[in-house]
Amino acid sequence: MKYEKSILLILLIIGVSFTSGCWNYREIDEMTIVSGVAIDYEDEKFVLTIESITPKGGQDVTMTSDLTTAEGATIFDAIRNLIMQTGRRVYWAHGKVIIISEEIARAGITPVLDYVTRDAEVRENMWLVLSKEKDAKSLLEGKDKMHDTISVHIDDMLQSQKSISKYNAVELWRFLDDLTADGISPTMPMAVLKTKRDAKIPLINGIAIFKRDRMVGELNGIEARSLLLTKGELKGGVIVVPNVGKTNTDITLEVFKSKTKVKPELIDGKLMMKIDVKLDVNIAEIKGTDDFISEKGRKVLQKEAEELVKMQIENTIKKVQKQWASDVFDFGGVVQREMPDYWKAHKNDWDKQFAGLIVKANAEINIRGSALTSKPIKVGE
Amino acid sequence: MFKKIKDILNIKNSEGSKIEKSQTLEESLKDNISTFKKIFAGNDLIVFRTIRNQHDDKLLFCMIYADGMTDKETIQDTVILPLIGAKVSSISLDDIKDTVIGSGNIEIDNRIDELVKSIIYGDSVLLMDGSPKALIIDTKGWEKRRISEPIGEAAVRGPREGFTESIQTNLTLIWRKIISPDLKMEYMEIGKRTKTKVCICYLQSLASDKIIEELKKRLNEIQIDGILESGYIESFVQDAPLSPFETMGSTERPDVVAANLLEGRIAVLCDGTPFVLTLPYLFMEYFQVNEDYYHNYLYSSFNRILRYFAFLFSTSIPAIYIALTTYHQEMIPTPLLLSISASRQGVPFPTVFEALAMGITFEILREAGTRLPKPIGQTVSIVGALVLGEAAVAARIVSAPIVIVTAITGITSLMLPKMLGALAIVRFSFIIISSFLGLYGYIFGVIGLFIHLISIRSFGIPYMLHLASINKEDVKDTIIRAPWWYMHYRPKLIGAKDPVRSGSKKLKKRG
Repeated sequence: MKYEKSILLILLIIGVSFTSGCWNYREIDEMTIVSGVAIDYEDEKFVLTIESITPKGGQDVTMTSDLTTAEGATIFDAIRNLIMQTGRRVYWAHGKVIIISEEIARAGITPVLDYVTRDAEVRENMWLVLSKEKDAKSLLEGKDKMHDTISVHIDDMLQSQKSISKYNAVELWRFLDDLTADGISPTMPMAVLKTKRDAKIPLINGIAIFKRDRMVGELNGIEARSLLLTKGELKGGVIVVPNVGKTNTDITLEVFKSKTKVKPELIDGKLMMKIDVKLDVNIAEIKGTDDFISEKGRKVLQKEAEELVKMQIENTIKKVQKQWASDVFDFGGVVQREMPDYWKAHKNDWDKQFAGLIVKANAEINIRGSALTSKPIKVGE
Repeated sequence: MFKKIKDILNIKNSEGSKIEKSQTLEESLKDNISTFKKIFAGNDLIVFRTIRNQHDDKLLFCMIYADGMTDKETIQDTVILPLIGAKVSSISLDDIKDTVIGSGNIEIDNRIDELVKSIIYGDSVLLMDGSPKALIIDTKGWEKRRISEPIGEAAVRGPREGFTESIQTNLTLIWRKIISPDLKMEYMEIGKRTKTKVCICYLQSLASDKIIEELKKRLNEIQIDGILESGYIESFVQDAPLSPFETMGSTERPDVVAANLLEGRIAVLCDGTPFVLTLPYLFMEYFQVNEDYYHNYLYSSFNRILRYFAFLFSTSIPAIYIALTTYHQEMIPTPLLLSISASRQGVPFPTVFEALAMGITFEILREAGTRLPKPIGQTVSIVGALVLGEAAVAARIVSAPIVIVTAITGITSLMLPKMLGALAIVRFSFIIISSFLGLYGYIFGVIGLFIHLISIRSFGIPYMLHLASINKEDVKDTIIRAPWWYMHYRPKLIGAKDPVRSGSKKLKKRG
């Protein structure tokens, strides 16, 4: 009797061990590791191009990347069709980028995003990039000297976004958050191919503006910076102030720190957004010999830079208001937080409200230093 | 010396000669000699030396002793020569004892079983014609190993002496460290046939009476024919006998034993082995090394933390590696994943098999290395490192990462030499459980291990004492090794009789 019980217990433990826990045992070398994917839409079918990394060799390791293309009625269909070519299941957890063609973005991005958010393997921190090329696929066909894998190259560009600020870096979860939240429209960086000697390499510049899940327009690099600044997401980058003090000297300022305050106000029943921007900058480059480092020169520079930043912000917002009426600046969110009653009343026609917003920007620039030299280069006689 | 006793006893018993307890000596020397000859029949080591006094023909003696167990010079100088040349007026054994024999330790006895026992222990028995009694003369003396540095517990700084196989030598080694009448040493005899001397050693004012009582009770209950090493006693006496973890410590170093005694622990010495048992033994003692207390406290604390990491690495690295590479590839950083993937290309076996095979190979090498004589031992390590490391990877039989994993595991396990067995068992069970349950299984393994460790007690003291505590006093000799002037208290419970170890008298007793 005693033995029977213990045998039963052992059988139970073995049974439970094998029927629970992580079931999908698989070896690392039996996977196709995806580093990036480009999604196109052709002939009413999704065309999926994956870039997979193939490590080779036991002692001397070399990495090569391969492109595989498959079609399918839906994204998941296309993914499973990939197996016909790769022979192995593809592994998504180490993917870096999702490149989406402009055609899909303009038609509505939801069908693409549903699968990638639903699937357990795809990570929500993959970058989203919009292809300005006709085929998103062609971006992955580019070549780069540094990396064999183009996805890694794009990953690098997006990682170092904060020191250029001419595009934003949007992770999948962020895009989804913006897409589903009230009072904000999502954005996405855009990539094009650039010919460099004979090779073509992908290059990211500008931001695509979405309205709901459809792409409606785009911003160039400087407008992109203003967008980031308005949202309080500017971490670095440079501001070129042209023709300072009418001396024909262009001065480049490097941004160290930015602080943005957006405050909605009601004036005569009309909503006004007050945007206060504070920037800590360094003089990074003076394209001339005039002294803008002394207190007097610095004041001139500061004033012109403030004026420039203010103008850029206002112009960018006006452009978006006028052309697309899509609130990519998160003004809706601000109103929702600061004036919940107003938001409740005007929630349903927010697009209209946004288009009619009065915007008043104000910039305050604090020039903290001039890097290593305290004088402009003086040319000797 | 030990073998000899065993030989003697074996031969004696195989002859089937039984001594009745009540049997005593006769008056006739001849009869007595024939009785002993019958008892020791077939044992050529026993010497019967008859002596006749040169002045009186009637003074006949017979010395019975075991050759090799006795000191020949002592017998010759203190017994035989005086007996031959003595001028005695009356023929009385007491007179002989008092006036003739120059040995320090003499007893008179007439029970044959006692006399036989004395001969076996190396004493000499002197029979005298016409006397129904005999003298037991202390003539013990045999070849002993000299005190040398223990091979198993080498130290850079610290005493160089280690225990030997002789229990008397070992006791004096301890005594020389703790010169105090408080030090108690109680002999016992265990083993129906070997009659091995076992000694319980403790400081009366520190050691817990209850633990001593319990220990004696357990020792008295041992039923075995022979004790050849203290490991026999350990397995009879210790708590949690089925656990791979020891609940009694063993050491070859007198300084370690002395330190244990000063903390209120008890030592059990066993004749014939340099390994002395200490109890109660706690889990954290695996991580404490005698040198910790001799070096600078910072260095010692650093070393101790390294040992805790060694425990973690040695038990867990292969299991975590398997869990990550076969279930949770998303948790590995991409570049690492790619290089693991590259090195696994073309390897025919699953990762689990690789890990088990390499782990067992390591254990084989270790075992082969320890049993072999030193010069060959090096060959083993070279063959092991080259053939099994380099060549196996080059031939794509195993992947490079698993060799690294095995190497780290092996090296770190050597940092805890006393735990090697337990580490191997825990490691292999973790490998197996995480090979079919992933990290989930590994965590289950860890939980199981801790439940087991926490449930153990060593002589009533919780095995994980101090380890689950963040109390200031408890941490001072566990995670770190505090400076001596700051380590005020003995370990809780063990040193409860007199908790304050160092520092001013103002320190209160802790609750």
